[in-house]
Amino acid sequence: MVSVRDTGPKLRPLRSLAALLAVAVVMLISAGCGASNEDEIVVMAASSLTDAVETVLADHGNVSAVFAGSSTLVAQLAEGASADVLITADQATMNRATADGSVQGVSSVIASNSLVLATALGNPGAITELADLSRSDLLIGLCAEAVPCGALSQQALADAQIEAAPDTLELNVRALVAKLALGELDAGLIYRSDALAAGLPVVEAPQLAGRSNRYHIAAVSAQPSLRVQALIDDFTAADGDAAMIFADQGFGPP
Amino acid sequence: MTADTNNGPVADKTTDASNAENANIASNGVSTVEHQHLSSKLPATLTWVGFVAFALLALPVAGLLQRAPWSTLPSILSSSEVLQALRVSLIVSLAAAATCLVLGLPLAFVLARRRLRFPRLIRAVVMLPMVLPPVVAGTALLFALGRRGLVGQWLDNWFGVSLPFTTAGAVIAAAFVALPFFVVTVEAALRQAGDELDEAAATLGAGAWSRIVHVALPTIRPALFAGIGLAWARALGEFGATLTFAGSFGGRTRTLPLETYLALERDPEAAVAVSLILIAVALAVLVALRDRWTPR
Repeated sequence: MVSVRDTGPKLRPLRSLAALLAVAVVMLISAGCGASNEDEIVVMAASSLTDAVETVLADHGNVSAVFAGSSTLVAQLAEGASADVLITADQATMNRATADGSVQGVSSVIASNSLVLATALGNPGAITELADLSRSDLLIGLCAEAVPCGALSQQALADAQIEAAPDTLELNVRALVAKLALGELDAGLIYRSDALAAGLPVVEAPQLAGRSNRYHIAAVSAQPSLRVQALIDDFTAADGDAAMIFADQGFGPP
Repeated sequence: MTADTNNGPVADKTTDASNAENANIASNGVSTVEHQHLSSKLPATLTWVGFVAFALLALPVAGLLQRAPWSTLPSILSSSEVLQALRVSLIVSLAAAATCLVLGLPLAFVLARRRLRFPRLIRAVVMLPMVLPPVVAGTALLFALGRRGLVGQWLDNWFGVSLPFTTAGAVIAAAFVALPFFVVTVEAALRQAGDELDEAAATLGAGAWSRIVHVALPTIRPALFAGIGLAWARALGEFGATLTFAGSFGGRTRTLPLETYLALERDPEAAVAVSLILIAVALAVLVALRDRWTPR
């Protein structure tokens, strides 16, 4: 009796460990089952479309969305991730997915997003024009040239013959938007939809007119199912619900 | 170790004068032979699960190696962006490790030797950066030390010092996430060492500083180096907090992990190549540390 009472407390930690492991195994197995839901449509979309695409998909049953940078999505597809629809933030990344065979459908443009000169709340740096980006007394942020918004920014600045003095070249546009919203940067070049979502002031700059990226959509398979094709048609319809949602969130027409 | 050491009886080995290491350790009361004897009796399941754990750690590295663009490796790695990022990474991680040593050592002593009011709470706060997602850590640093931050606005107003987007900011971000690794390692060693030696030295008339320098530090030397190694390695791989707090600018704040992320956008092969240097530098230093300063 005494010996039983002695071992009881010692065994308890082991038992709870075993219980934890059992729970973990069950969770792993059920997660595995969840992944093989045959009827579910998976949409992969560029992270700048998160809000818009989620709003559009809210009306569709059994569709799930994955959001990440376009390059990451293309890499995931190439490594065998299963998805039915891909939406990228520019033509170049869509071309990469088509070139390596991971996307076989024909792509079309669903929306555009124009580059704008945005400032921190209240415009503390008193930014009035694009050329202010070369002022060294301000904290200026741009996207790195390797990401779509950075390539667009570099091109616009080069064409306007403005030598910007950035303090940081952010790795994605969301990081740049966050720093402007926190007031840690005075100004930066971001997308209109991001400025609208974050409530950031936009300084109109004629040199940025027509500078925009185009979102491309394509079915992953060459012969998409009827449901997948219907979903893509919803996104591409010029006067459909999706087009209105996109326009509301600051995106431009294709 | 040879098969002969495994088979020989314990008594034979401890008296074997030719095996200096064994004799030396045996005289301290711990026998390597006995140690080996014990390790050979490990349950088979335990050993196998151990190997599975090792595979979990090593396989991704093997995956990287298998995808490495070996033929174009030299040209990718000698590009000016990569060399610049390597330089920034070394400066930032070494400065962060030094910061951990200077600030972390006193903190470890306080935690291990002082009676504190809310010891559990204080320890939890010290370990918080280990569990915080690094991006959150970076945002928290901005809230504290940024231009509009709790302390940062005064730094900016009074001294004109602005930490975000500077190399110093990158060092602070790296030190923030690395410090707990150093403090936890050193504090554990101080507790394990106990304070008998310290008390003995005190009765012999040694002063407080002298006891720290001549008694405590030599006793915990292996943990000290292990702690610096861990903190440095964590600082070298730091990504999220650096990006959020210090931004990314070539030659100033763009470290190797940030360069890797950028390369991933352009050309995944280059990203693999850049991460290879990160792994090579880290392995070289960690292996060297282990051999020289910590007991095997």
